[in-house]
Amino acid sequence: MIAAGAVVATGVATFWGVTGAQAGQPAPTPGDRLQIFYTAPVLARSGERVLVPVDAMCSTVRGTPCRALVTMRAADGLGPARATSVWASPGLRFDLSAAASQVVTDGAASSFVRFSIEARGAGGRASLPPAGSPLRFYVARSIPPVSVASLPFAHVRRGRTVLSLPWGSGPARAGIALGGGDLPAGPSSFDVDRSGRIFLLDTKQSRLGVFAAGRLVRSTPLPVAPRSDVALSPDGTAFVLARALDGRFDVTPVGPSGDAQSVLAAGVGIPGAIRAVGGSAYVHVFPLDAWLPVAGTQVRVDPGDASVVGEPLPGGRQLLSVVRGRRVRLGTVDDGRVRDAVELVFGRALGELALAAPDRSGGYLAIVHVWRDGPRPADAFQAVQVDGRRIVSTFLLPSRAYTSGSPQTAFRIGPDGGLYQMLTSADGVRVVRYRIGGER
Amino acid sequence: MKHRLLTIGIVGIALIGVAWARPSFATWSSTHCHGGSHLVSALKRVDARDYASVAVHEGYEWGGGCWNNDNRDDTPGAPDSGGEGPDCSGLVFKTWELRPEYGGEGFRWYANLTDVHGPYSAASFHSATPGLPFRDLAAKSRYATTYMDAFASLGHVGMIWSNAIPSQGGDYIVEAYNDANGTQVNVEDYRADTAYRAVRRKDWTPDCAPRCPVGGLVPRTVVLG
Repeated sequence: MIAAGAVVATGVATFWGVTGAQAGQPAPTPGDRLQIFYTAPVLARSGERVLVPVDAMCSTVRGTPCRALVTMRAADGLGPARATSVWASPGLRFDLSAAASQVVTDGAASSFVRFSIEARGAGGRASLPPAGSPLRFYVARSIPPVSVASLPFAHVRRGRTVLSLPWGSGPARAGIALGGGDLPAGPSSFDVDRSGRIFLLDTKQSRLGVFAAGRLVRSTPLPVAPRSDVALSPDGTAFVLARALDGRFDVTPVGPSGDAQSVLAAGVGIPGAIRAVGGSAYVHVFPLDAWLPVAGTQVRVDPGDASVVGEPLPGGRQLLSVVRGRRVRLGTVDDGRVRDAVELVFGRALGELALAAPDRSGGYLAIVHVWRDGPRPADAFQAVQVDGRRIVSTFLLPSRAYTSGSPQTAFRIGPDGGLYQMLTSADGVRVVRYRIGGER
Repeated sequence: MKHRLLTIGIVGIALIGVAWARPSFATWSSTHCHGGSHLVSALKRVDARDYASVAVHEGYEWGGGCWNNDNRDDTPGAPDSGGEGPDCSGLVFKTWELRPEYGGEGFRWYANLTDVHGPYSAASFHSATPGLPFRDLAAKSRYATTYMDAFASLGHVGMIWSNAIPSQGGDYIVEAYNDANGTQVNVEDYRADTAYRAVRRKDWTPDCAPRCPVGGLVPRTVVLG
């Protein structure tokens, strides 16, 4: 008997040749009894240790746990892959430092490691990615650390309210679901267009409402569940992401005139945020932890690339972002190379990265949930504007929410350059605009 | 006359049939939930997670605690109707195999089709008092928690699904969310939210039992050369 955790096999492999899995194979169906969760490296510094924790969950059709054989394949750059297989065990992690250390050579400032994870057991077979090209993480020779000041939690910035709706039903109110012991569910997301109009996804009232100067000027009926998300493209198309209970998720484009178009099946998994780039839409999907292009929109990806690790940006670039411990790493992938990498080092514990965006000067704006434990617990969102190795500005934003929701659906940067936040209280919902800059 | 008798007979049978078939306030749970339960001596986190995985993709019912395994909500759009699914605290109660009496120690396994919620609300988990079979943890850091621990507020509770960390931070959480979203694994930021505390069931049996290495389980690192 081979003990859990013992390496079963190792050697040179192709990414898919060993298992016979092929690009284009169907994605796992919801309810599959074998799942893989992992911690994505995303952006590593050359020479540092790269550990990838892998959690393979296997259960039989009888509903009892089963053993799973996990295979990690990795290759530096476009080189040949190496593979190793091991029985899953609590705390299992793969050390990909060797692959990462070989990629930045010949004076290159950055490169990448391709990898895939597969698990097999009585519960079936699962792999990340389920099809297409392997996943990637990037390795940069230089990721300069920049310290971020810890601001007093009470010092949250006050913004200007651009939309305020009391709870209720009708054109001048926002819907809220307050059934039984449910988590209160209000509008799940919003976005801002070039004219400063607010697109509010009101799931209780099953509509995508467009508000100008605080008044509803257009409404598109959309029966979507709470925890949906919306992103506006520059041409005014709104992409609405909705998740079904069975684990599938889809995207409904709403044209500039407000007409809802055919629903696009977008994938299986835990959908995070949706973002629009030009006329295309991408969804951040977990546990793949990568961005999937939404077929049926104007996606542009390389053949075989089923997903990309960074948030797609105009011009084929990607925004890399990852939270680890008290650090946030940011970088831009341009033509396969990492540029403008930076590491924000906080003095406080971090929650989710609610928003990250590049600015026009090679810097970034990041909004991170910061928190403090202990006898006087507190939390807030901290906005950080960084340019090269310099913090341009940082300030706190309120975190209190009356309704449930993801931090990633609560913030947007408008085309006017302003930062917008959706806030909820017992009275209703507000969208607040903040100026960016000031305070350090 | 014969025709009239036949008509009366048919109407009578129909009326009796209607009365017989009348649901008399039958609910989904009263129709489907007839599972059992039994005492067990121990519980591993890996088994608890496997148990909760059956509830994933099923419905949500406030005060409920019964679900099947068909990956759909059998009572969609029907809140508070004796429908399918647990609520948040009911899911934790059954997954942690808590005893049905308040404060009861030990473990009781329930079939997923056993309609039981248990005596604990989300607030009970959030403000765990001495003598309960679970306790608040002093810290919420990743060093202090592990999978199948919970984060609880006064109104909601969900369990850590995996020690893997999403790239954008937060945690994978299994939770009975609400009637519209059912029971799912979501990425949540409860760890950073002041409203939530970390909670741990007492008396877990280590996953490695009965062959745990001396000194306890240490992370297994496999080097890919």
